Amino acid sequence: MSEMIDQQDLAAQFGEKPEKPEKPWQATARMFYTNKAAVFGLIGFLIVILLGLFGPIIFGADPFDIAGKPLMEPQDANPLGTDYLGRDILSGVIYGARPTMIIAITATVCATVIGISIGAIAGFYGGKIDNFLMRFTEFFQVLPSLVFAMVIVAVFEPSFLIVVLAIGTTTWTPLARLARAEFLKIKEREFVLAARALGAQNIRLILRVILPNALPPLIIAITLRVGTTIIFEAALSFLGLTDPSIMTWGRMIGLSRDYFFEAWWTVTFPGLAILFTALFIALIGDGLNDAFNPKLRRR
Amino acid sequence: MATALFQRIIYGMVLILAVIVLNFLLIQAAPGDVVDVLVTEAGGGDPEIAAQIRASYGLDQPVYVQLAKYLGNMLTGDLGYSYYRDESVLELLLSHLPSTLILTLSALLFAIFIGTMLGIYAATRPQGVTNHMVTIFSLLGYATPVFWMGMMLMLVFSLYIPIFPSFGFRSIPAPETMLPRILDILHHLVLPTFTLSILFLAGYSRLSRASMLDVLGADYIRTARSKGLSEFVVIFKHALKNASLPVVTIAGLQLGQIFSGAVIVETLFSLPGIGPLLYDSITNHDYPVMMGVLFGTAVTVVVANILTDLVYRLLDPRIRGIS
Amino acid sequence: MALKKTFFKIMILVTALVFLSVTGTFADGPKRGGTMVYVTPKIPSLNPMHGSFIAGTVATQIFAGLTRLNEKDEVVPYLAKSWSFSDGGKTITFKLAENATFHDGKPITSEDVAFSIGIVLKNHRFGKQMFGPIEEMDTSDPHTLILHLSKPHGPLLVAATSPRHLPIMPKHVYGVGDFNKNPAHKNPVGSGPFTITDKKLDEYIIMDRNKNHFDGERPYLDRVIGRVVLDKTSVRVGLEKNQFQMADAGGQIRYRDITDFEKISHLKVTELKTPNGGGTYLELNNRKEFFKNKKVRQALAYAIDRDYLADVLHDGRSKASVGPIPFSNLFFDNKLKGYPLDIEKANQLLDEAGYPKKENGIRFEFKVAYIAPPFAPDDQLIIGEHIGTSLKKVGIKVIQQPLPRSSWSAKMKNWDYDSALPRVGDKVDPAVGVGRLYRCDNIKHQPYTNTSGYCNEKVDELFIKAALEPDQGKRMAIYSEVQKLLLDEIPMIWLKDSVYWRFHHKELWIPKYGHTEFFDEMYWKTAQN
Repeated sequence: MSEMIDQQDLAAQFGEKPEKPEKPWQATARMFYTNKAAVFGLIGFLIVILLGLFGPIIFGADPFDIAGKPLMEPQDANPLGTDYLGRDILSGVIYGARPTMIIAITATVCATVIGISIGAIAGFYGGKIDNFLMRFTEFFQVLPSLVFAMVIVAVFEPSFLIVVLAIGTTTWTPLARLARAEFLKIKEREFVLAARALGAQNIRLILRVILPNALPPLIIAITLRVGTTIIFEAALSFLGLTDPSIMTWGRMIGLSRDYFFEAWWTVTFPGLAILFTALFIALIGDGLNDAFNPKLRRR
Repeated sequence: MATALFQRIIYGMVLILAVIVLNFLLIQAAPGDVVDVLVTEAGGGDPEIAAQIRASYGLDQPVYVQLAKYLGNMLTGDLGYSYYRDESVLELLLSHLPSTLILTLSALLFAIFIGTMLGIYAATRPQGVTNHMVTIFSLLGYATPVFWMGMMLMLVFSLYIPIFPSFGFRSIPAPETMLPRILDILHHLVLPTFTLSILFLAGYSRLSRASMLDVLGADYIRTARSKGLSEFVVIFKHALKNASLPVVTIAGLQLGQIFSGAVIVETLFSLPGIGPLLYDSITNHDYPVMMGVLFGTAVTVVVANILTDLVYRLLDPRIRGIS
Repeated sequence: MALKKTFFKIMILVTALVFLSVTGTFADGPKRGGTMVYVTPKIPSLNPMHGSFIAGTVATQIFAGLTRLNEKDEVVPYLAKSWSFSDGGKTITFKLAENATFHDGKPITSEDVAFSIGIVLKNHRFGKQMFGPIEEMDTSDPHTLILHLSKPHGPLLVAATSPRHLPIMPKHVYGVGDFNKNPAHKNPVGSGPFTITDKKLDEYIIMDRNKNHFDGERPYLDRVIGRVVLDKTSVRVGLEKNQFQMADAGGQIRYRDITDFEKISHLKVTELKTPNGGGTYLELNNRKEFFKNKKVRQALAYAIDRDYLADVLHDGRSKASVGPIPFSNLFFDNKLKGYPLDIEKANQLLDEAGYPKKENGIRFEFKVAYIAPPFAPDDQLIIGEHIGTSLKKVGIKVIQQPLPRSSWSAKMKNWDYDSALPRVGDKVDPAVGVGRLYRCDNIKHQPYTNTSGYCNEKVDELFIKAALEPDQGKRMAIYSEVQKLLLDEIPMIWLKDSVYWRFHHKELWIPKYGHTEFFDEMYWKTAQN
């Protein structure tokens, strides 16, 4: 929180911000909580997270254990049916929350770190550094991210680390562009110029002065990226580029592909899990968008 | 502007070269080669013969020699030869292109058309049900994995209500005459096109709604209205042109993503397109084909970016003034 | 004399044809005419030397071999009308059919056959094993080929029965320029019973009867269409609507689907009795610390539930392996007991071997490398996962390692794996197809050799002795001994023996012997549209 106070002090000193007595983050939070759809999304998302954290403990059964005959329809013992090896789909969906979210979040963090570092440095320093870094970014934009990730995963092995790295290294470019645009805009603002005049170091300017002010649009983008990453991982799984030892929802769909006509439950339920989780995230993203930009609200 | 364009083209070529080199090195880092694949398929064989074949394909040479040769051949327009398919890469690309082109173009047109229509409708009735539907629709479009959507569509429209084929590009044998032949292909493409377009439909409807709302507030529209022009003329003649600009721009810049989607949709519906060609080449370590597809993609994306930029500059006077 | 014989044959043929055209049918047996559509995966290439199975299936129709197998699996004349051995088996003289032509009308001569053998020697992955001992080829007479060998070589005649191994190619086409890049690979000029009329290799291939085929009577079918279908639902729908009349299980059609497909009333499912059996094994890298220990290997064998794999996961359509020689092989010892499921014994063996359960309940972990889906998941992914669930019960953690084919092959080649799931064919004779996995002198950097690094001189001795033993009964006894010895030492775990299933229209006659893929022997028992 210290950086917040930092920039608010500075901003207050020069009369730019805040306009309201209420702290901006509190205002944003208030806006967010009055948005029913956003709160619904947040609750839904928290349920998924809780499922990921505690589901395995409460539920007990290992999703890799054989629970019955292969490809059994939903019935009492297996409410969502079984897969081609006889594993319980329900326990797969519950257990799947954790690895799915871990992969999505780790890969997003990976993309965020690369993207924001490059975008921030490019936007802050400008000139040749900016030029070079943007060329570097464009290089990663030439190949569609899924195609690029396919190549990486197929060249190496589809392990957790490779999948995360492949998603991270192929999806950071939009975040870099966004961060750069924000930094370009904010670095010319008076409170930044003032901080610079007061002798603040570049690293301090980047991390403590500009970044906090650039956060709102980045937070929205990062939130939405988590959802996109879940789907991205599922797409890789669909193409067979998945680690069978990790019970993600994407893996459940990807490896059951051959059976979906005669056993619709094998792909439908994990797909719904992905759909709802991504939907919750989208609602949160929408809510954040509205909360950060109250003037732009149209609904 | 001509020099700027020239610079962009040169720069684009450098980018493509860099992509090619990186991917070449990447795949060389992978263990195994196409001879290993062939040996596995044959269920074994003589190591000496494998070595002989490797040498005759030039795979025994150091990586930098292979790379230099590859780049040298590319300069002469030779994209290489697939020893897995026994065909030149260029021919393979060309023979797989039509299916992909038809699929992506029809999906794109469908998405732009329906998306813009929905957006306009929603923008003109801000309190209406459609407006909410566009929002919900765009959320669902964001949250649904495209292959899963395709699977669900297949379940419903190929299995439970069998009205569309779930597989392939045409019937075999294909109808003899031209018109039934085209209709047959279109019939096969209904589900894939719809699946692929869903990926973009939502985004386009949202985008066109936003820009339509902006445009509808503009002075010239008010003028047009005050002149007594009918609402239909106002919207479709004056506003649409401006509201569709961002959609077209985005579509141009998204070409790469559309191709990503096509890879998945073509794989799911077993269409004889570039996507499965790429997928097969990756799993078979058929790297000339893989490099060929990546090269083609890179060129398409770079050219599309330059063109989009150009079109945008021509259409939007504000940008023309800036640089 | 030979000419007279040929003339006589032609006369018979002409008479038969006249008879046929009058009555429209053979009195009893094969009938001519009709189209057969079969389901195929993507055809990668029309190069007859391409390694893949699918390419070989097409090459078998377009190219002729030198000889053939009959319903008793005996070598019978084909392009070679007769052959004789001299010089103690070191010289073989083939007399070629004189009416034989390539698809472009040019005659097939001994020079073409010699050229084809040369190509096979250079490009076929088993070229050396099949034709290596050939020292000289005499082609002075265009219809006589004389091979001089360095030593008598049994596999030669059998190898010549399949165009997969020896397709007869025109020298004037394939001998021009670099064979690997020959333009004819796009439009082959063949020698076999069918010619390609139209094709789009990702979608279909249409082959028509070669009216000038030297064999005269065959092929019976007028047209054969290979339809590329990658999705089994489409295969099922197509079979149901009689759009396809033949499809093989494996690949897209999974074992579990067979029962479902069987319900289609006009279809028949036939178990193919090919001389070429095989199975899927859990190959253990015997260089790894834990697999060096025989007790560990035996424990794995007791812990992996092979019956569940065959009976439940494969729906009873494959067979649980007992030992190193698959059940379909002539030399399979059916008195062997193998390793029945026994979790307790497995646990006990692992404790004895010095791998007690740690606090987390795990003794040790290892990776199982296989080819990633969509490649034959019944034989790769499912088995890998099944081993995982089986061994978890005895406290061994199995890490799945699905790989693209190239990486898998490279890992095997470099011995850089813990365990793997090779699918190995027994190549009819255990001396060829089974021994290669265990013999010390075959520890090579190549998949499907002894990559596991197992070595026992006794085993080597027995395999060599069996290969040289002419008496069938005595060979049987020797192979029995090998099986017992290997079962005890258990250098790898034999999981499942392959069974081959083919769906076909009830009225379509298909060969169940020999190479089973000679479409020219198939015919419609009743006329079809």
